[in-house]
Amino acid sequence: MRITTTTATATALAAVMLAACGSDDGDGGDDSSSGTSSIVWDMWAGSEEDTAFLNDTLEIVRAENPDIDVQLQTAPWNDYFTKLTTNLSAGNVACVTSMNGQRLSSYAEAFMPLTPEDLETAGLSEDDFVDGALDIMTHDGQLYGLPFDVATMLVYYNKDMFADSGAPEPQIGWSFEDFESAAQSVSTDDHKGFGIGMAEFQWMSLPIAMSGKQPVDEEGNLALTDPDFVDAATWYAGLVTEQEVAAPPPSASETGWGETEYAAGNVAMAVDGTWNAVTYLNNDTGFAAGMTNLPAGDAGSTALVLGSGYGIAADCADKEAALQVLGSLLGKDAQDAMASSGRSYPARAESQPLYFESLDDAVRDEVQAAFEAAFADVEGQRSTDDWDQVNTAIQPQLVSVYTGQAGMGDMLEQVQQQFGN
Amino acid sequence: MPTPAMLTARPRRRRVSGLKKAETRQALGFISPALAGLALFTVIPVVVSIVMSLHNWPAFGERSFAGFDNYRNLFTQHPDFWPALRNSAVFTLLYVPINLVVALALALSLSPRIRGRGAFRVLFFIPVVTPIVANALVWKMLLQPQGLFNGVSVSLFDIQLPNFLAHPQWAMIMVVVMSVWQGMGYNMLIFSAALEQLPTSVVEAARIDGARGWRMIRSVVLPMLSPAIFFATVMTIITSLQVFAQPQLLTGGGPGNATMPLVQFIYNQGFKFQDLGLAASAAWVLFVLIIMVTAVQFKAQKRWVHYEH
Amino acid sequence: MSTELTTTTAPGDDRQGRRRGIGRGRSGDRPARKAQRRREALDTRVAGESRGAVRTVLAHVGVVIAAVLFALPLVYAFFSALKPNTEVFSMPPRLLASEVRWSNFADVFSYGPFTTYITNSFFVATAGTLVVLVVSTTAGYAFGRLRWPGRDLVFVLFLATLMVPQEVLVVPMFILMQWFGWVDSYQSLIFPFAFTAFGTFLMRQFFRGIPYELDEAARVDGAGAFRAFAQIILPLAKPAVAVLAVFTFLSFWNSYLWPLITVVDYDAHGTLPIGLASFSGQNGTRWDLQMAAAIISMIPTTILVIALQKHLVKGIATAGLGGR
Repeated sequence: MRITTTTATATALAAVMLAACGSDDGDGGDDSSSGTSSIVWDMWAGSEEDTAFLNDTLEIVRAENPDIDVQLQTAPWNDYFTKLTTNLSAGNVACVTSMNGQRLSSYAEAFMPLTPEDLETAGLSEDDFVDGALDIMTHDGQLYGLPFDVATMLVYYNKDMFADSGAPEPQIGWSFEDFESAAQSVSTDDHKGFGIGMAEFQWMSLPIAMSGKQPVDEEGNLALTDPDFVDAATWYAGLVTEQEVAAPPPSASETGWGETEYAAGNVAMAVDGTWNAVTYLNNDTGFAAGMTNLPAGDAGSTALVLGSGYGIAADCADKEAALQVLGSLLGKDAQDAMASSGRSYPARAESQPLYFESLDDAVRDEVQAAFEAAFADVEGQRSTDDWDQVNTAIQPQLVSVYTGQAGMGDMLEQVQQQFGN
Repeated sequence: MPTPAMLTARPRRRRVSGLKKAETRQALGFISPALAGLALFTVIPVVVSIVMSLHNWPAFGERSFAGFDNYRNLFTQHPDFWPALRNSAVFTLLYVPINLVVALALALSLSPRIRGRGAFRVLFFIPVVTPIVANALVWKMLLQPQGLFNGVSVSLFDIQLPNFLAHPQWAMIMVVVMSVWQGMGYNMLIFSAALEQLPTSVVEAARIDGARGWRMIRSVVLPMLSPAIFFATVMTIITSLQVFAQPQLLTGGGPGNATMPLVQFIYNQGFKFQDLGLAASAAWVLFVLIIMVTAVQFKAQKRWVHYEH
Repeated sequence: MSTELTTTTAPGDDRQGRRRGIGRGRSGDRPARKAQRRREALDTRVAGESRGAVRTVLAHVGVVIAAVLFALPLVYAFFSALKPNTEVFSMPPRLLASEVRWSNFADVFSYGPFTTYITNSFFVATAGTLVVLVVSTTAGYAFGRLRWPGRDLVFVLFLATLMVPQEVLVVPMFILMQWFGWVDSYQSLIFPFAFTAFGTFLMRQFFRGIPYELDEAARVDGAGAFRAFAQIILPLAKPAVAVLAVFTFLSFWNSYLWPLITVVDYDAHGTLPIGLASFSGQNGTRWDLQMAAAIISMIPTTILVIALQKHLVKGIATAGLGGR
């Protein structure tokens, strides 16, 4: 029995030494010892429906790469990044890993930078993707992956509420004055005109559109205290505190406040991504949903291109095979399937029309017009290395701002001081 | 696991010391599964996490030895660490007494003269077994401005309640209230058990002597329950210093960082910001805190815990 | 700390307990103390006897009010599970929505592999409970009934591990699982947190209350410590084992963070709590289904508590947790 204790102590010591070296780089969870190489594809998915769709895509990839054993691994969206962090810290990242563009800056080191030769190996070319799409998976001027969908923010509105109030519906190319008067005239005692945002671009998009400034400057420095941006953000908070066309969120844990309120039919307008267009059109609440691009500010219409993509893990053992899988995942067949399912607006240019074809006749033209206007002059989203942390710090503070306990300017100033240097 | 044969086959020469040795050997046999498991699944991870706390240890990329930099960073630079420590302390100071008082009051009221006390006990215990995700969701629906509480208050008394979860002080109070609702059943069960265990002779004697109601509780029942109260206090303080899920789901730690406790801080540093070294060092601060508080409790128990033997 | 701990938790040596049997009655009725109580009680003798009935009614009213307050969130949760998703948050809140959707409970099973989650949770919680029972009773026996050098010191170290927050251990534990090749396996769901000191603590408390002659005789007779443990001590410990079993089962059943980290393939090894989280997606959350799923996941544990309610209270009492 004493042996047990000794062994345990020895194991513990070994563990310390191993850990202290800190060089236990994993093999990416695949072993290429057995002739055919095996590649794990990590993706977020919640419902059976999501998984079924991904499995269909998996079949396409397998058919195109008969010599590679491709495995799909999924986690629900909310837990995906927690699990990814754990896997990273343990050197256990899937060779082909999905990444959300807004979060790339925090995870860039985990991915292999892609060169033009790599794209060639994957059977892809930069021209396959729509303009600006490659920015999604670019960090510090370096390409870390390729996008599977592109997105930007839209203003969604409840047509029924606009009809009831007699206010004119938002039009493509509208201004911030139009937005304000719409929000005011559609607000009633029963419901507010606008659902205030809590998540990063759900709230930042309007201030960015109004000021024409991103909260990160062109050199990649945090610029939360840029006077124009502060003014616009203060105006945005004023929608709750001064104009009272929006209600404050009841808790900092309501990360999707404005959008949830809109989907439930409790407010007339909300800002959300193009990725939810189909969800809103088919909303269970039963209202008629409309959509248009963000209002234009003095500096014109400023919108950011967002989206998600696939990267190759930095420590992937079989880069060649991983690139081939990547090529198939972003190939015409897979992207066509994604587009015609209406699940996401594909990043591959030739697949995009299929997305609109999947829509109902009654709304197709309107959606297409809104998408085209919104994507017309989008710019890449700039971010800092700690962008994720900046947002994590801002989000709970927003509640205090919306309830009038703190000023937007002070809050931005404080966050800028914490992360600015 | 040693077989009985192994343990009994020992010769019984030199009885006393031989027996002692045999007993030690038997004890080792009995304890080895627990010891091996604890060494493997607690000691090793604990040691690894100490090592991590002394390193600049991002989830990926270069790791480097950092000495006590993480600890220094926590105490002197990080804007969220002291508030998190304060929040954990405030939560504990509010939660533990309320939890114990409510649990004790309910255990006392569920006396044998209450009909269906078993059913009531089950009811008060059910929140303990309810998934926290569902609990948090329901409480949010009750507490928000358009929620049930404010709705009832406005329609009955025409009084507008505060926006509970968006107000720095109210948010903390509501996290405490929900946590008491959710966790109190466990202590109530322990107190109920202790009450059942009271020797009827002593209670009867006190009753014959005319002790009733509050007087009876204060001078007879509470002193006799003090060991159970002590046990419950120690365990409840430990769990309340480790509180995480309730604020995470109910308030998201907000508004600002008004309800973010230490464990949520640790979780954020580790899993959101990938700074595992800093997370580990904050975890060690928490561990030391828990050890100290528990030690103080054991030191102080002589003053108020009555062991009757 | 160590000495205090020993005095509080080691009443087993005093032989008073023998008179009344296991674990109860040691609360002593020494004459001196009794007399003191009597003196104290004398002061309140004025209290009348006739108030008894009023008190009983008042006690019932108080308990019922508390019960209603307690049940309110539970009732609300149940009715939320019957609403369409968009009406879960309708303003003002209503108990019943425009329609009562019992189908939510069925939809839970078609939304994801919910049956697998339930089966896995059952398997993991049951297996984990068995491991905990074996480990805790044997270790508790060594700490509570056998004499060996360094026992109390080792026990205090054991107890100290109770205070390590789980969040501290998650990442190192995951690295450990990789060394073992246990990532995404049932082993990794069952073993890592099955060796916590709580069970050992509880069993030790109980074992100390059992009169020493009972198994000492057996051991000296040559029956062997293991036989004494298995045939004499363990059968006496049933109530305490039942308490430990229920609490362990509950903690495995509701465990969230660790399964979230270690389970890779949800379809194969997913458990209920992480399954509940899968109702939140990038396109919002199916609150209706999440509530229904939460209600479903409560059923087994609630049944367990109802069935064992009486034994739980007795078990805690005899386990020495309640008394001391």
